[in-house]
Amino acid sequence: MKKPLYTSLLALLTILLLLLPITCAQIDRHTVGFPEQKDENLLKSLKDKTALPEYEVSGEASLNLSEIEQLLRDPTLPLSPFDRYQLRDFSNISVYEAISRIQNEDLRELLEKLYGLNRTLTTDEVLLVLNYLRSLRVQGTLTPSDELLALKALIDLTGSGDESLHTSLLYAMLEVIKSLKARRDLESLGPLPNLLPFQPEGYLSQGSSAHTRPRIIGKLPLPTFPGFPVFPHVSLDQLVPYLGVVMIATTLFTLLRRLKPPSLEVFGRLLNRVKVGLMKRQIGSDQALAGISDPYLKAYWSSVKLMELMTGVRRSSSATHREFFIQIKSLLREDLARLFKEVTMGYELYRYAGVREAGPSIEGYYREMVRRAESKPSA
Amino acid sequence: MSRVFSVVKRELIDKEILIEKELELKLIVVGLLSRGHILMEGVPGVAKTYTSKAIAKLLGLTFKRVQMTPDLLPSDIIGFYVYDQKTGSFVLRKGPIFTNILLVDEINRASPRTQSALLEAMQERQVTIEGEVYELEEPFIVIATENPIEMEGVFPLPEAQLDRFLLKIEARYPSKNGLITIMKRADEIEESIRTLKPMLTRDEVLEEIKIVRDIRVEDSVYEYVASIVEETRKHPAVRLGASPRAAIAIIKAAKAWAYIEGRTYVIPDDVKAVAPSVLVHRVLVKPELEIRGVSAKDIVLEILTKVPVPKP
Repeated sequence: MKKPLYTSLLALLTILLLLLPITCAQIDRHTVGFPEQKDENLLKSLKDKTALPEYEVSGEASLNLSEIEQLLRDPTLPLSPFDRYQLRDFSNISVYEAISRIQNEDLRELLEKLYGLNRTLTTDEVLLVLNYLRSLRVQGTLTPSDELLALKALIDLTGSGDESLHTSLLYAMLEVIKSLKARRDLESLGPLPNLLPFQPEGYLSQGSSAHTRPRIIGKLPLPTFPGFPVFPHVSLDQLVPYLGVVMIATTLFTLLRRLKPPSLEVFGRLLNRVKVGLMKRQIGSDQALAGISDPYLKAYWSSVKLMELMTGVRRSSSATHREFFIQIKSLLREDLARLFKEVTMGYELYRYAGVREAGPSIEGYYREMVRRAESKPSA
Repeated sequence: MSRVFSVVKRELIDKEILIEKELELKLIVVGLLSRGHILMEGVPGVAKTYTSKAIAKLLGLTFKRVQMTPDLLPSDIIGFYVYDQKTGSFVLRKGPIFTNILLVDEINRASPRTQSALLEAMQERQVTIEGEVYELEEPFIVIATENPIEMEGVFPLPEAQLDRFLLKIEARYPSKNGLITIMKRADEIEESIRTLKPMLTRDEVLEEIKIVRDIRVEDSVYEYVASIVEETRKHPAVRLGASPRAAIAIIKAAKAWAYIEGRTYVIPDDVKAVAPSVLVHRVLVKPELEIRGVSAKDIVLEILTKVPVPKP
């Protein structure tokens, strides 16, 4: 009994080792290597580089689409030529034009549906779309041009009635431009050090102090998994039940494998008897078979029924005797296939060639088939 | 097994003289053994002539070919009397119809008048010239070809005349590998067909025709064929279903197929094997469905998967 326990423990240990990168990624919640509050100077310099002073979100400044377009014309913005092409004449395009320029098909379809409503969108609907945009951004399937075009379409679809909503959408656009500028400035800082989940402790101490990795993990000589997927939304407490299920399944599997063969054989024999008993009952109760007076023809059709039950393949009414044999031949074990072929050929001779002598052989082969099925009912 | 088909198979298929033509050759032999005529549909250049010529040569039968044109007259096929100045009397000049295997190329190019004269001869197996009746020598089989894509300058065969063909065979393009073999062996194939020697005699062919006639057909097979033919008339996509002549044709062809397969009795599998070729030119699809791509072959195949085979 020790062996299964050791196997289970080994399996558990392996799973835990595999989960380590996930748990480590959870501890370190901020983007690894990205400067945090502690490094005030670095943060300030970054803020200075990415800030758009004239449009700090103070709520005082008035913002309009022409000014957004002006900002988009900045040649230093890291926009691809295609994005720039998509955003051409940004402030003047119609809602339809804005929607049709969107490359993300799901987003375009959603906006087309909203456009098809032929009414002004409510604040809730706009918020839902904004949430959807955020989820697409997180998934990495949203390009800046698509996001800006979607926001432009939303502005047009909300009309000018709700001033605050209108301004919020403009600021959302501004945020997109800000993030683009931030990206540009980060790129100008030069390449960042390659920080994988398992880095020397010294470097990590420069980042967040609140979320530094526990010392014991940091000291472990763990291998790095550069290609190992990290699931940022999966927390460890969600994984615990799964872990339990895996452990129980592993233990059960190992125990079952250790069961002695005779006990399985007894179980199998019992199952065979039940199975064949059921098949016989089904063949016996078949109304179509009961109506056949010729014993040899009845033997053939009974064998067809038996084969149907054993293979699970139902004979189509338009399938000939040969077609049915060919259909199930590959599903039958060798001895049954040979016997059923004899029955089929016997039926053909008896019925279509008028060879009466072939009749008894059909019955004989059918009986043999039943006997073989009783010893081993699987096809 | 049929000696006719085994000779054809050995000399033409196994020796790769005709490549990927087994089914077509088998159906031609079915036509020959069941005394039926064959309509072969296929684009030019798919060895329709070679196939017919090779069979005729192998079986020791006479072979003639007529290229149909709109100006061809019935007498050009059947024959006519000409005045012989030496004897001072009219002598019969027999047309190409006096042969065992007649290949009628592009039958739909001939005028309806010539077509009907030919088809009448096919049905009656005799021709009348200047009031005198001449029996055609047995076996007599017409293999008529038509091009499925030509629409201009043709006279499509009327339904009643189509019904006189026992089978319609589609002469298909070979596969890519088959085509490569054909290209490599083109000269060899031509030479082989030219030098083919008869392997059987006309009498042996006639003997097999007699045997085929006596092949056993169980009553339930007749019922099965009747159900298939009836179903062609009930099918909602069909404008004109199969005639009783079609039912007879299925039985005849199934007998020949069974014999080729080495049996002296017909089973439903034989019916299924020949039914598409027998019915496809006899079942007419409703025009509105035809333009949507529904073909007679689709309908026949659907019917064959619906009609129950004989049960106890």
